[in-house]
Amino acid sequence: MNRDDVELEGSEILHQGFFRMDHFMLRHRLFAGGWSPALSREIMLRNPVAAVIPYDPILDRVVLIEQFRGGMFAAGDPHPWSIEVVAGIIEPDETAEDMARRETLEETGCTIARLEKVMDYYPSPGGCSECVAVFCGEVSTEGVGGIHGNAAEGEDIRVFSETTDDAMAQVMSGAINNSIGIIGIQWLALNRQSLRQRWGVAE
Amino acid sequence: MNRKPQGLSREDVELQAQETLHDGFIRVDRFHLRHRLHRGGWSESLSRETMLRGEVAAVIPYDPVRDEIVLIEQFRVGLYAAGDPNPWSTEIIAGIVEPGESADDMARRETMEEAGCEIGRLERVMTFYSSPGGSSQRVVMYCAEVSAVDIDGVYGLDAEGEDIRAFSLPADDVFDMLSTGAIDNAVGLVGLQWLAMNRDALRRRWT
Repeated sequence: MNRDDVELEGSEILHQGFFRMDHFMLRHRLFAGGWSPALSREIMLRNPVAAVIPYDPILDRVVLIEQFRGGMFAAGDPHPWSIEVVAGIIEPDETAEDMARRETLEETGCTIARLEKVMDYYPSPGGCSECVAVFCGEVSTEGVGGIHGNAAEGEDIRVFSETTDDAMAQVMSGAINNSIGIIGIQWLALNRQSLRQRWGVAE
Repeated sequence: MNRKPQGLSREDVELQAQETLHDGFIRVDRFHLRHRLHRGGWSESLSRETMLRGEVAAVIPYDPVRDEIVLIEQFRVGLYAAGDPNPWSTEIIAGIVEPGESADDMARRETMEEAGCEIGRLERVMTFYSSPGGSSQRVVMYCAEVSAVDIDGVYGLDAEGEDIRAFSLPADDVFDMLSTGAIDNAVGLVGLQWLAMNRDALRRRWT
């Protein structure tokens, strides 16, 4: 099935603030044939995001950031600071690649050399239109660290680096517990050998 | 959940006001707060909009004898709203945990509802936030022992408008789908990447 198998019967804006929430009435074709009844669905409309796994292929280290997250505070998390890879909203007049380079410099101070697209994914496809373009960016972790971020946007970002194995251990211990970070680091653990060969740094 | 021993915690956040902006199937609140900074001192007062969503339980349904994984396919409004040319999503099992229900019970019930599978052993894999910048949604991920024989059909609750196709594939074929973009949702990626790294150990434990 594809987009032509969906019929949008109506939509209204329920809330427009930093995010926008819409209500859709729609029906779609069924696997067994025929059409569903009219379905009522609330959906948060969010702009596309680009995320970057900043990877040093020579030292086999990944740059991580730590920042306060409102969603974790709202969930009652005892530690609403999140360890993540780089991510940010793509501006309308900007490509995902440009944004990946700009955001990595802003959030970590690292300049990206090679940049590879890894995947696109939806963090929460049942209730949110947000789509994340994930990249792996070649960086040097020499001298990486400190506090970064755009103070005007209320960003307060602690930057550090870990070996891929230590980052993976933090995923398994639950210290890294957000979808972008887990997906990025698990991707790196699964693909670093072929990536290092492609980038010409494998032993 | 193990967290770093040092670092900032909930006591380092001062909630100044909270207002509900929308309260329908999904609730959106705006928080006015400030928090301690990494270098010391406090941030300015920040305004943050957040979707308040319940806990989700997700299940990787794995047949360790046949080395097969059960997958489901269903329409997803988030993909449709994003303009995706194919708004049907290939996923593993997931659903919202009802009040009064344990995540374990929910995992068993939802796997039966969405794929017609009975669960044998059930192991907790990890817990994560799907989009912590703008949503409180937390996902508890399980791996479940199932039999993938004769998994092929349409499932789901009509009353909830669910129309779910369930099928099974060899694990290696599913792992290939991780690099082709055929799996493009957080729950599926987190769970299936985990299984790709842990399948051999899991099979030794279970068979």
